Amino acid sequence: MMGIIAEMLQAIIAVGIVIAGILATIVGVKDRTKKISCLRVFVQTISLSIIFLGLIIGPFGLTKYPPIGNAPRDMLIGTSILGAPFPDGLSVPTMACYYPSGRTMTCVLWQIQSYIFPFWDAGKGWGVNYVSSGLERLAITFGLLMVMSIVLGRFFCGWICPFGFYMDLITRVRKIMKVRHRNLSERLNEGLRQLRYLIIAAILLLSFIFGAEAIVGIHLVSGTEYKGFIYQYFSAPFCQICPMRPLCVPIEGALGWMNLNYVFSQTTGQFYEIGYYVTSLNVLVLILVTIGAFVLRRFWCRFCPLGGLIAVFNRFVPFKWASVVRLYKEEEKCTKCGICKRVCTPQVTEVYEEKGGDVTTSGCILCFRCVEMCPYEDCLKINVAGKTVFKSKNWLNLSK
Amino acid sequence: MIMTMLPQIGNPYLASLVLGLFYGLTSCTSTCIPYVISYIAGIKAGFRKSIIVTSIYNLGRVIAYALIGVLIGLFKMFVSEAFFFTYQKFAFAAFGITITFIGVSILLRKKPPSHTCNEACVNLNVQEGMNKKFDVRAFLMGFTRGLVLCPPFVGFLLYSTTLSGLGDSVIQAALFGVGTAISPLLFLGGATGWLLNKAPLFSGWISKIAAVVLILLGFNMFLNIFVGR
Repeated sequence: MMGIIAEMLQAIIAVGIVIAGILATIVGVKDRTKKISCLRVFVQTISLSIIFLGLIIGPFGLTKYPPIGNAPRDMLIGTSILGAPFPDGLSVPTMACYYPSGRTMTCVLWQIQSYIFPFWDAGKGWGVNYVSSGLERLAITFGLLMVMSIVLGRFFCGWICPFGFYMDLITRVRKIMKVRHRNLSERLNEGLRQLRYLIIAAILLLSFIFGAEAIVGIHLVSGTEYKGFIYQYFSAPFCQICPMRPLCVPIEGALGWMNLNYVFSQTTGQFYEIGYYVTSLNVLVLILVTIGAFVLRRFWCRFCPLGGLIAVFNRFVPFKWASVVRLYKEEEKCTKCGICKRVCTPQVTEVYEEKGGDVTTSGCILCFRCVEMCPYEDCLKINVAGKTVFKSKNWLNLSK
Repeated sequence: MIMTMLPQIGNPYLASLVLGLFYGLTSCTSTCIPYVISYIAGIKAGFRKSIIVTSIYNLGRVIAYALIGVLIGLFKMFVSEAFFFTYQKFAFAAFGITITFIGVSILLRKKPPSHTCNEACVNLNVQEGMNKKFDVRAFLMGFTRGLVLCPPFVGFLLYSTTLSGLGDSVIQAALFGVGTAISPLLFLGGATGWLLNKAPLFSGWISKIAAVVLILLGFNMFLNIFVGR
């Protein structure tokens, strides 16, 4: 009883600190063109802490699989809420990588891939026992993904995703170094935006081909059998090129939360060509994305398949009405000054080009930089559940 | 498992339908999906068009099954093993030729002018089956695929060797086909078209790759039959 009360008190204090922080940011930041940006950095920091809460609160030294390290391996909200049928953690549409320790949530892409192959059958898992079938777990994963995506949309990308935060930090470094960013041509940017749907199609197709034996009883690719090469090292195809994995695993290793010797032993070939935790391909992609993010703002978000998945559900016409966070524009107040277009980090042009009304699009990460920078009174508005929570202000004191 | 369940279903028509439904959920989807998806990607179909194309493909299969039902009813075919293997060779060849031809036709398709679609371009599209309701290529692909005696259909044939008359065999074969047609293939086909349509800038490349995949699948079929690979 006392334990429950103590846990509740801890939760209340944590929520209180978060609310106080949000209020302090809103009240404390006087510059209207930085209010939302500062609030976003605060929310991103809190989100990062919640995603890797296990690294903060422990319990340490109780790892299920000691070679990985001392930090809690699966401090999982999902297990507490959804119980045994879902032991990999709560599915969230952000890059809350599955591989590092201490996470409380799990990237939905890893779950989608892994539940198709290699964990279609109940029972098998990386150190866990699934009591439900892959289809049931996929239903839960897709259900959570759909609900979160429909309700919040790409708010996850702009405010919660740890990799988005990483790219924002790179942008800050660039600004400190006084290097000017570059923009892609509209066609190339649109090409990147469309590329994410092809990546989603490729992920699903590859997972299905690998898992064909378990799903329909036809063995299509050698190495997909139990302990085969693909089973052990290539089970989640997208994770082999995802830049988040080589970002968090080495950081956790360097900080002592993960055992780097063990991590690098789970590989094959030279230069860690391919492996369970980190691959050289991963590292290469991370380097490229980091360079890209230094030059182009929110480079990865432009073709992130996870963002694409969120957009697919959020912008799907029958579900659009349920979207809670939206961006509105009043046509008659817009002078087409183009500031919104220039400050948009993923180079979304629709806010500028569209006439008015709901201008939320699949490329928009809902960072609301355009709203805080728009110098025309009430021209752009952020609506949350139908209520306007923030609108553009005449911060330049332009004559009306 | 399903074959042991069938005798418990008293009505043979219902049993055929159940057998078809079962295989439609499992092996039919995985067997047909490479061809259907490649074709959908090849013709750049959207969600609705993909569903229509998949339905037409399935219609082709159902008609092929019914035709085989006629042959069984009339001539009691496939009783001899030698005949079965010879028939299979020709059926595979027909399917291989069809998908190769479809792949080539997609690959060699004339690109309509990028400006506004004039009468000539509309006519070109109509000729290519783009604007038509009934997609002959999808039908042919389904029909020739249906002529190939895949393991589920062979299972059905083994079950239906007791069939007596022509009517019985035709109806049961068609019901089996209908059962296989009500499968995740319909949804997967639609979803593929919908997803690929979200990347219109890549549609040209996707179409070319899909056409090449169809041609390779066709060639692979030939290799399997005639080289004995």
